[in-house]
Amino acid sequence: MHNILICDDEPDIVSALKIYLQAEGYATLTARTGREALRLAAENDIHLILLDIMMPEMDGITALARLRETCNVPVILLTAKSEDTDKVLGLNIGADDYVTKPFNPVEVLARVKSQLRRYLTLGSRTTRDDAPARYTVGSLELDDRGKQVLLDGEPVSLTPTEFEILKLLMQHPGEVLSPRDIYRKVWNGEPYGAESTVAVHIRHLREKIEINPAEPRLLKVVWAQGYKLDGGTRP
Amino acid sequence: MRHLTHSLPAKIAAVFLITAVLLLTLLAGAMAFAGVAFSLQAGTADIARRQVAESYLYRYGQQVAQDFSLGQDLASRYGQANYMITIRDTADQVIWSNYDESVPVLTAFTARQSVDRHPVTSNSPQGPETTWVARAEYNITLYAKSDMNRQDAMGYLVSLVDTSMRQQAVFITLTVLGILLFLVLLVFLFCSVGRRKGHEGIVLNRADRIPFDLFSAFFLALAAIQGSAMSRFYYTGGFSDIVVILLLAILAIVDFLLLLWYVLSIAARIKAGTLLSNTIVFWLLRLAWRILCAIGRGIRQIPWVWKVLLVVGTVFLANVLTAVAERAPVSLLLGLLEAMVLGPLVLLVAHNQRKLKLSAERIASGELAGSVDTSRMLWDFKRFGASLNSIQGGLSRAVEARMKSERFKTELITNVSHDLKTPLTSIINYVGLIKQEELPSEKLQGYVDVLDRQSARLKKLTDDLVEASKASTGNLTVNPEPADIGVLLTQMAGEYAQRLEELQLELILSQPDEPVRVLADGRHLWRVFDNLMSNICKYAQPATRVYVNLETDAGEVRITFRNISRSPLNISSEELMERFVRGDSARSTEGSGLGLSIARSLVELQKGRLQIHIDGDLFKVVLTFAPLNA
Repeated sequence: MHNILICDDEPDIVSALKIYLQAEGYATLTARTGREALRLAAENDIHLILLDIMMPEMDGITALARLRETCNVPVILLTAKSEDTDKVLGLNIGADDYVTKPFNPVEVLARVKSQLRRYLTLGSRTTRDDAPARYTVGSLELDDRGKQVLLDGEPVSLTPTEFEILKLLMQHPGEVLSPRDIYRKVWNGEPYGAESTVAVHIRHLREKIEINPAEPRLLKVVWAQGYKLDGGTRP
Repeated sequence: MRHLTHSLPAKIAAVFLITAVLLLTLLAGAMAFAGVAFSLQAGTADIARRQVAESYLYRYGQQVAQDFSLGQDLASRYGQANYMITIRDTADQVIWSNYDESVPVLTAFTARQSVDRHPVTSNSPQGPETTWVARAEYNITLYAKSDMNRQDAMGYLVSLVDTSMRQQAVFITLTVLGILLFLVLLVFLFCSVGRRKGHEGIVLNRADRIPFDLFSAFFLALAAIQGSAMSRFYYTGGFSDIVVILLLAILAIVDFLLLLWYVLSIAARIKAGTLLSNTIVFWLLRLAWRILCAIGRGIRQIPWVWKVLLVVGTVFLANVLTAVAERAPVSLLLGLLEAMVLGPLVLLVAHNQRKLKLSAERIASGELAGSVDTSRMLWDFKRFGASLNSIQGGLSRAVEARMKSERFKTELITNVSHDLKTPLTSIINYVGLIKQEELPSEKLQGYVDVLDRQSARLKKLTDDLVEASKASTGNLTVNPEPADIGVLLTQMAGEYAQRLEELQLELILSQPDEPVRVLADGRHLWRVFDNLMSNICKYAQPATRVYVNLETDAGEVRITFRNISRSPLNISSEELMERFVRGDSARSTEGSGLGLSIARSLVELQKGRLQIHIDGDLFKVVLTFAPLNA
């Protein structure tokens, strides 16, 4: 049983989220302002916070900043401002992920689960492995010997080509690789116009490892340049 | 006709033909003219012939009289002539005659001739004896034969007159035909001049490229030389020699050909439009104009104060010089005084004006900060400067108000759509909850599906609305960096592979081998491509091909999207670009109608161009960017 604090000034949204989360077996607490959220977080054993940004009395950003002074519980921002600057600000202050309103409840649930897994089960393991056959980027783990990929500790089934592409990207975290580079290294040959094969595989890969493939948090598309794998949740 | 006007042999033939036609027409014309003239004057051919014959008989009579007076043998000399002779004395006694009654006579002409002396042959018993008779007068009658078989001037002319009158109609017809043929050939030559096989348009030969005034001068000189030669020649009077006539005829033909050349050259020049421009006079005028323009530019570039100084100085110098020349010390003194008082004043005025001018230019260029310093200005200029300052103030207030309202608009849209998103979140969430429930009826399930679909559409619409307002007002951060369009197209193909496959659309991507880079923000560019491809998925006829071409030429990077529309595009490309307008009249499919508008705004934000072409069911979008020179 995990406790999730939902903080939003819109009661309808709060109760909808409550229904969804309780259906998944989570215990929920609700707050209407940032101040209330801070109080609840201090009084209770909270495992995850869903935090709205625009709230009366104290907004989400301020509340988050205060919260991070004392604890590192996962925080997912609920934001109606889909502007990049707000996302960057929130992530910089210490949010672990974000969903933009109007959000899809299924996506919220998926993100909640992902964050909880990382926080509770993988929290201490992420930095442990540096054996050459294992690569870890963010919540993604790749075991080259076992030919296995774990996302938040759960296995993901990939085709051999997808596995090779992911391995290449994980070997160069944060580095932008063009479709041509990827083709050369994975296929061991010149693409001669077959780069779109790479693009198709990447798209499939994103559908498998991303909660929302259109807004990837790990396998990012750098448009007109290439692809990169990034551990941070920043866009 | 075209292969005739462009063929060189045809043109040469036409020149020969026109010369021949001209000569023949002139001959026929002369004959026709003679025929008409004789008919008017004489009436019938018989009378005309007689008149011509008589005029000759008169001349021949004098010759006969002379020969008679010298005692020549008339019988042998005139035996074969085209006329017969009877010489009578004043008493009508026949002295000598070879008149034969059996020969038909055209006409007879009698003239009284005075003969100095003449031999008279009498038949004495010792044989023919010649005695000389002193000066006496005789009536000499000449009978022109009807049938003139000897080639002399009279016979020739009479037969000519006869022919010209009898064949009058033929000659007139020939003349008219000749003139027509001449004109036709001339028109043909006019048409064909300047045309050349294998060339479009007018081709000027070397002679046609000679400046026209020079060309004309050459012909004028030729004409003048010939004219003066001819006039001298004429007065020495030698037109009778057949060689001379032949030479003159050849000269006439040469003249005609020269004239033809000249006229055709004019025609060619007119056709090529170089008649006036290709002349030395024109060149000189143009040169003079350019020099004037250059001088004008030079003067314009002199700073204003210096210009004024130049004018004032010139006037002053002129005054001084006149005063010195007129030896008027008083006016010289006055002039110096004037220069000392007026000079600084004029310079001050000029300086004030310069300041005002600079300020006005600054305001005109849109720079609204700063104001005119009016502290050291003369009265009127000070007032003018103050007006300028207040104009500037008004302008900057207006601009600021405008910008404020733009900002306000964008903010309003952003805020409104933000406020829309909160209730929308609830709707989506609760619709999701309803869907999880066991619904009592199919009908209700259908209603919920509608709610689900429409709320998703509303979500897209609000997102698009914000983006459209930001993109169109430029209220968007653009981070331009070298973007590889080829990579972007590849990524696009990968992103859309599945969707295209579901719709049975075949994407045909063509791009050059070497990378094509432009300076653009990759994310915005992707949004553009994304919108265009998503439109294609929505509106393309399934099971057709979609072409995306990337090419660089003429210093431009061009990306072309082409697809076949599913429904008829009964709308113009301009209208399609408007916000909320969609090509399908039914408005049933998903989408906000903002896609193209957003795409265009984003392309323009990145200094590109987006054009839409509709050709029947072919829908084509062309994006143009400036290439990044690596």
